Amino acid sequence: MEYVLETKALCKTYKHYKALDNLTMHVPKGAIYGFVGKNGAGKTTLIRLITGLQFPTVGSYQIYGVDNTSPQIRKSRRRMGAVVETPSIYLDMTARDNMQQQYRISGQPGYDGIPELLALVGLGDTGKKKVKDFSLGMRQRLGIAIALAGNPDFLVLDEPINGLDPQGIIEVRELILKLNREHGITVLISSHILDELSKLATHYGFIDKGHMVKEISAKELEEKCAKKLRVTVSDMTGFSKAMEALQLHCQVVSDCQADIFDEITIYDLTETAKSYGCKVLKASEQDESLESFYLNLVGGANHD
Amino acid sequence: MTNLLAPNLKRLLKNSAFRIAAAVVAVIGLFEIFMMYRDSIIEMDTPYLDGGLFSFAALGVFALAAVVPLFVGSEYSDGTIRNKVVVGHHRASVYLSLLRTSLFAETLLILVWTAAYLIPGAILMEHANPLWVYLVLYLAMFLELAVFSVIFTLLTMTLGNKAGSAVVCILFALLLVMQGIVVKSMLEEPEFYGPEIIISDDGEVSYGGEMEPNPNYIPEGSPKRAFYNFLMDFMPGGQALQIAGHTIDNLSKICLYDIGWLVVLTGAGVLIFRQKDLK
Repeated sequence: MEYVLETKALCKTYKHYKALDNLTMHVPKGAIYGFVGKNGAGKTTLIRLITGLQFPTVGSYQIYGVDNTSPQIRKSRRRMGAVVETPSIYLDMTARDNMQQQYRISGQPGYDGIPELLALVGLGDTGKKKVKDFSLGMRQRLGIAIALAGNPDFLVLDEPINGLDPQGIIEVRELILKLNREHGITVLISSHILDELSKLATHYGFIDKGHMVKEISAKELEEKCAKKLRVTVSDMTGFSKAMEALQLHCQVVSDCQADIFDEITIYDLTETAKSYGCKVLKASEQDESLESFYLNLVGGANHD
Repeated sequence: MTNLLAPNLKRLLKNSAFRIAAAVVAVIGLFEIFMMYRDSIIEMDTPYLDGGLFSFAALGVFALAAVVPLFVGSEYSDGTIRNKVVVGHHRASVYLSLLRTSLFAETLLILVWTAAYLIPGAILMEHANPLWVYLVLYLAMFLELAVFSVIFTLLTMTLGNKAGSAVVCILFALLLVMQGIVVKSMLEEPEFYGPEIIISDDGEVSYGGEMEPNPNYIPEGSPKRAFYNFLMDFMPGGQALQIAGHTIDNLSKICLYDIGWLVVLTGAGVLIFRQKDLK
């Protein structure tokens, strides 16, 4: 598999505080990689390192296969766009002026495409309004537009929906999906808003205390967090035979509880169990959300 | 670096701090020339424009102490310095482009001062020296103010804080100019205190007592005087006062010191910025 970003045992220490602790991660090409962690976990620190704003204490990373210590890394960075923490925009200039500045900085030959890019992020009609008069959501969107100015194929977004209203959140989500699906842009998003991330990400990396706890694809995560029917029964032996007869995927949790992963009606379940001398005492539907998966993960529970 | 310099220059010309500084410099230039003309009329002297033409060597220090940190510091406060690093520009290129923009700001302010002073000055007043003298003094003034531009850029890029940098730069400017004033006053101490002047009730002036030696006088040829003369020539604050007051003893030495300052401070700034963690 081709990776846009790989980090190898990355460490970052500020005086006596270890912000990143042997962080190893892999962002596949074409993915929307959701980087999940609580406040202070090290998400922004990692992003600062890979964007060249800061330097690792120990360890290395590669962008498009180029090591961070190589002089060629700057060429790899030209294929990146990033919004790190807060949008980097000149407050006393208009949206268009900001875009023109970034076009020059990223070496674009002209200013073609600026109106289309501003329209893409919903800022096409801001005119001569200065950025200092923009709302937070508008500034976030302009930050994304500026990150796209250099036609990147790897976009790094640090908590892009912070401060956005529900409409703004939907628009940014749609934008990210469009950039990924229609333009093939790989996206690394850091966030602690799990619900929103679950609608976007194709891959996840869970970070806690500067260390990567788990990397998993969305498909694998879905399998682990699948809906199930938890039943409490009077006789586990009889119940197991009933499940075999129905050819249902089932997992025994304890001597009186089991999880059923396939669809079945309560009537069929109780009737079949009864025929094997087992009573179904309780049945409840459960699904593990990304949130509970994450909480179990950073709490130390093994989810394999 | 062109990719960085052009957008910086465009932003400088739109920057409100720079525009206000340019307006203030122009007003002070006009005020100075008209005050000098008025004084020459009152004293019935030939009006010469030389007197205040290079006072910008001292005034410009404070204009740059305001403009440079506010302009360069906005790269930190707006976070836009990140945009340049993220897209792959070398740290040295980012630093040098901002430094060159500061020098461009200095050049524009000198031009504004010159225009405000010389346009009415050329009409109202005479000049005492040939053109080449003015050109050489302009070069000295440019180099002296360039050293201040480099100092303020270094401070701002190191501190990484717009408001804090502005305060530090203004204090630094005051410190360097005060250093020049103190050293100048020490060098200008007379050898003797004159006799006591006595004015009687009916206005008659007489002198009493003898000339007293001044304990603060620094003897000619002494190592102490040589050291203070070196300080006046070496330190930018002393240079500013010499150029502004037309009291330059060794112009070529001052220019060489300035070139040395520019090389060392620029190198130090690039080295510091290359290692700096940006937030």
